Amino acid sequence: MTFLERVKTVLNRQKPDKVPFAPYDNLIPRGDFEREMRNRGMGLCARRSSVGSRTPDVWSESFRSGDIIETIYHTPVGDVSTKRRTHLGRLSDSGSVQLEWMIKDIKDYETVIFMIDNAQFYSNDEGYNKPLRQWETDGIVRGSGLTAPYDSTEGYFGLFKWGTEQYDHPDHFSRLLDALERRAERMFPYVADSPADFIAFGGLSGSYSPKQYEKYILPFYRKYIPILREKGKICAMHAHASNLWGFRNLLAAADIDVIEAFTPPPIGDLSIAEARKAWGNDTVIWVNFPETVFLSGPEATKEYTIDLIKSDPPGLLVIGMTELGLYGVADEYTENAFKEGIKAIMDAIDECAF
Amino acid sequence: MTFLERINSVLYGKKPDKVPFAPKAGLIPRGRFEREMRNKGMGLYSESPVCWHEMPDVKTEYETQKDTRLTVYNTPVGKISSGRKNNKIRRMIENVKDYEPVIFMIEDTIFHPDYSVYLNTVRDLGSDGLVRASGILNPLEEAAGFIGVGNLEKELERHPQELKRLIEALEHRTERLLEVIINSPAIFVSVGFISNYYSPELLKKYVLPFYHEYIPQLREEDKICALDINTSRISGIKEMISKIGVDVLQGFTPPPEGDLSIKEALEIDSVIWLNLPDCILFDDSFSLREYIKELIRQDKSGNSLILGLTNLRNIDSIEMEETYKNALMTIIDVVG
Repeated sequence: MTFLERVKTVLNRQKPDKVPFAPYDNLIPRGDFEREMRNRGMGLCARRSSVGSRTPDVWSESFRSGDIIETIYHTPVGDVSTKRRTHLGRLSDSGSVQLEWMIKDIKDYETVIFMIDNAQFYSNDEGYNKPLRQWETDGIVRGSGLTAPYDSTEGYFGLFKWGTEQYDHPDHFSRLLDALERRAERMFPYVADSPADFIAFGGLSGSYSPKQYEKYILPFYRKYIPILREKGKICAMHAHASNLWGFRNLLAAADIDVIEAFTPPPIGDLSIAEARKAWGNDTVIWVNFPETVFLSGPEATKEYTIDLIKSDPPGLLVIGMTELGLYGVADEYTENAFKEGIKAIMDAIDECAF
Repeated sequence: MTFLERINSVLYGKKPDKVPFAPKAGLIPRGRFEREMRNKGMGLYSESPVCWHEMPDVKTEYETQKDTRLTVYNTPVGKISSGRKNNKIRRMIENVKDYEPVIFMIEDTIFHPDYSVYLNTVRDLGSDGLVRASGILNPLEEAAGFIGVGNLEKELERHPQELKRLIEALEHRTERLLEVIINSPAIFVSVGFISNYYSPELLKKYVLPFYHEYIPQLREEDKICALDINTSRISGIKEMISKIGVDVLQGFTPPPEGDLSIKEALEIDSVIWLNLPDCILFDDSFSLREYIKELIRQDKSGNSLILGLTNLRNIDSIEMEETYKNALMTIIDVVG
């Protein structure tokens, strides 16, 4: 089987020749090591969008001061701004972190809601089709979907203010949520009609309670997933929270095809076997391999991976890297540990071939 | 030999096992085909900064609207902008009063060494690629960037004093940047580019002294200096390029697009890093196989040639994608 055949077999709920190993493409950069692993069967997951957006009545300007970039968004109803610190190395693809978010004051709601309502969407099929042609059998290209409106709200405040704002200004927060619902509805037809058959759809960061998940997130999945399934889409939720135990039954209720970025112990609190028990034999579990295991050495990594694979008899498993990958390499020691660790994962996968 | 050993052989004047094929990484998208090409020996050439810069007393705004993408610089001595306004190109220096703020910006520039991007790229590529550090630019080409290529010679007549001050400011900034590059872990460094827009006299006056000052300093620190040839018309400035005395001429486009034969180019005492012409990649009427064989035959020493792709036309159809892949496969097959 080629890598693509292997991963598609799993996504179609069948058992492949062996567990696919599919880190995100950006987390395993090009080079001799990456080529060696790809020659051995590792494939990469490329996230590419076929939906574009624009906000025709919003214009922006940015100011740089040292390593800080401030961006101001101008709208007919007011201005909002963000700040980022740059040149921070491989913390993220952009090498930057956000310091200030758009909503700092109650007056900022109106401007942000204007921007959300001003967003227009368009199809950009080539944004998906071209990478699909380029990767051929060496990668799986995942299209973009929607983020649950409640999850999107956090991006306007930063985590702390987002937590308090829901209680300090519930009416304003609710209006923001309504605007994001409207935006999701406008974007949805483009997602549903996109050429991508495998798409990202929402996530779970674990920064709120199961009660909130039930209230705000579950209806989102119940509204859209049946339509997408009818359209033949396979939807993946990016559940990178490390506290999934408390959400396991709610995730089952979301009835999503793939639970992705699933991080097992020792980082996460839910094992594969427990997840399988909660989600049944029809859900693909796409693991985010916990890189900390690499620090225990290649033998321990191999044993860990074998245990992981054996703990899921249905074999609807993909092993990936969705958060760190080789971005965790900082020096000679970690380079060696990570590369030996990745080789050990592949050794284990080969040893456990079905 | 690995790709890196092969290309380093050429850069250090030794004979490799075969001619290296090193296209710019961005021109070879990742995928099954690209992996196969690397398995057959193709390497990737990548460029990386070794610092970032700021202008603490300049406030920079990026204005993005429908037909406008403008960068506006607010300095204590005036405001200037560059980019596109209402779909018209806007240069930083459009008026004599614009010189002051531009010179202020150049003098205000502080370079912060940051080798992390370079080191990460080197580590990632391993033996599959070569990383070139972004380096210095010659002041004439840089000044032309502020003024507009077509306006430079006119400006020399109209505002010679202002232009002289601009070039001096650029040279002082280069001295500050040079220190960062010299102290960086990078071995293979860019020393800017040269085009055919200027007369040999102008190049002799502004470009040659610049390179004669800085290239020896870089060489003293064991750096290998690469000059980009940003034009296919270089026969008129061949002597000038020869006098610059750079280690590698990168992006050299041979005939039929370029006007200097590979034999003549090899007379310059530099490694010739080719940019294979688009027409031989995409036009069926050329026998690519014979063309590549002939290029390789021209390098009698066997250690002065690197095959590459540094510029490429926009590939905008599936047919072109297929043609491009076939061409790349032919090149790697001929190289062996």
